[in-house]
Amino acid sequence: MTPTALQCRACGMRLFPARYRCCGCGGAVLDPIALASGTVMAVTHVHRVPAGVPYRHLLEVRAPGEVTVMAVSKHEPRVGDTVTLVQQEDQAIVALACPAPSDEE
Amino acid sequence: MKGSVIRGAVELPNVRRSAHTTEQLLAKAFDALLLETGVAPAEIDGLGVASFTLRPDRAIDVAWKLGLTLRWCMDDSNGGASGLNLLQHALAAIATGQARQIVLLAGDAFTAESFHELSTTYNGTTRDLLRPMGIASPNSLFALATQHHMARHGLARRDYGELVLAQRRRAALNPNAIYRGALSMDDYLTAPPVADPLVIYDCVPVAAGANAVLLSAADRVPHGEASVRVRAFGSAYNTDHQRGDGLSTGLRDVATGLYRDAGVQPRDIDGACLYDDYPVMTLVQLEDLGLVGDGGLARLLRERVPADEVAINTSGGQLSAGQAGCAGGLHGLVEAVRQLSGRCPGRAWPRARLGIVAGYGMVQYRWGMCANAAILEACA
Repeated sequence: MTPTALQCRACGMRLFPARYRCCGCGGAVLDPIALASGTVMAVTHVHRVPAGVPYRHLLEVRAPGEVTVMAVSKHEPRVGDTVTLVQQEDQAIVALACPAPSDEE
Repeated sequence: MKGSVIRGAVELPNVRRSAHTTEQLLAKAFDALLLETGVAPAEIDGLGVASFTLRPDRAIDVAWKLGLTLRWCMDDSNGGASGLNLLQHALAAIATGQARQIVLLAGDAFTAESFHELSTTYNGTTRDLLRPMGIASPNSLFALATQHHMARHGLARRDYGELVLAQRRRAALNPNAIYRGALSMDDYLTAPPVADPLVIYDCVPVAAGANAVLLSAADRVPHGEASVRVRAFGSAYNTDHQRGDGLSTGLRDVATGLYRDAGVQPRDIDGACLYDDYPVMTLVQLEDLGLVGDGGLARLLRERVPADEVAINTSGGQLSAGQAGCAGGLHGLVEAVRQLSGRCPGRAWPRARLGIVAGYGMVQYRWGMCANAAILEACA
């Protein structure tokens, strides 16, 4: 599934992870909005990986609306790459190294 | 802040693994504090405790087991900010007459199970979003922050290594530090990687230990006793709400008021004890507090730090002394108090009149939510 942020109906600020109120204006009416893709801002190759974890790279991904999402990848993307974001059943967000044709906007 | 002084501060030697429980370590730190200050248990009417692993007990249970009858009692588990958080509340308690002599205790003794439990369920975000990814830990999160910091300031890995090496040289003079052996730049640059660009020496080692601080109403302090006064205190929480790049903390928001309230300038500070879970965060706090000096971080790290010209984390910091859970939040305060009260023979600051202590911590999704700082002054 696609990860979901919240967008404040009053000021438009997007929030991720989810919260009860907007940190920008205090608004309490927050609408879900999909985070389908984003731009890789930073990547770290993790060398100490727990047994059974298939990922080696932690990514900082900037999604539209100045939302930053932490995601993992099996492969090492470059900073500036566009990635598709997928949230698994266990809630882990995985970045797929294929350009998304469009985002939620 | 008039009305109260810090009369004593002690820390047990940190160890990687302890045969003692958290509560036993806290009790040992309490004993050491009483021994150093000469204060009797019956004189203590306030207790604050910071710990991750004390459960099912809490501060009041510790007080009961120590035989204390109290008028003031609080728990704090805000990690790297917990020690100064307790200090902030204790100062207010004494100022308003709620208590006259308060002991602050902090400590943790992790087992493999309790550390795993803490690190995977640190908060709801960690449990729900970070843990499932398997590799999203503080080490990898602060690796990303370090990358941003390197790019912003034009720093190389060896620049961060200079700070790590300097703290290790200080740790060699601190018998309570876990790691006191010499460390070379080659050791640092070729160390096992953890998460690029961080290596093992960049990541705070988990330890077991405890520390303790005694605050008293000023009129309780015998004439001539070496003590320390808090001249100013500031704290800030959620100043960036995890947006931006994490390369500033709430300290940036409180620094101006902190120096104003203390009536001093950054150049007046003789020593700084900053929360050093990772070298990048020490550097961020130095910037936030206006302590980098002329020439910026590059000159600081390439000239003044290698020459040991600046008194930063003179205990060795947590990077060499170890991080005993919440005791890490009180670690800097203990070092600063001992320096300012002349209790660090062999490794004293060249001048020890004013010190600054900072706390930082509670990683939410990307970095810490809490920051606090105090300017301390040696009482003549």
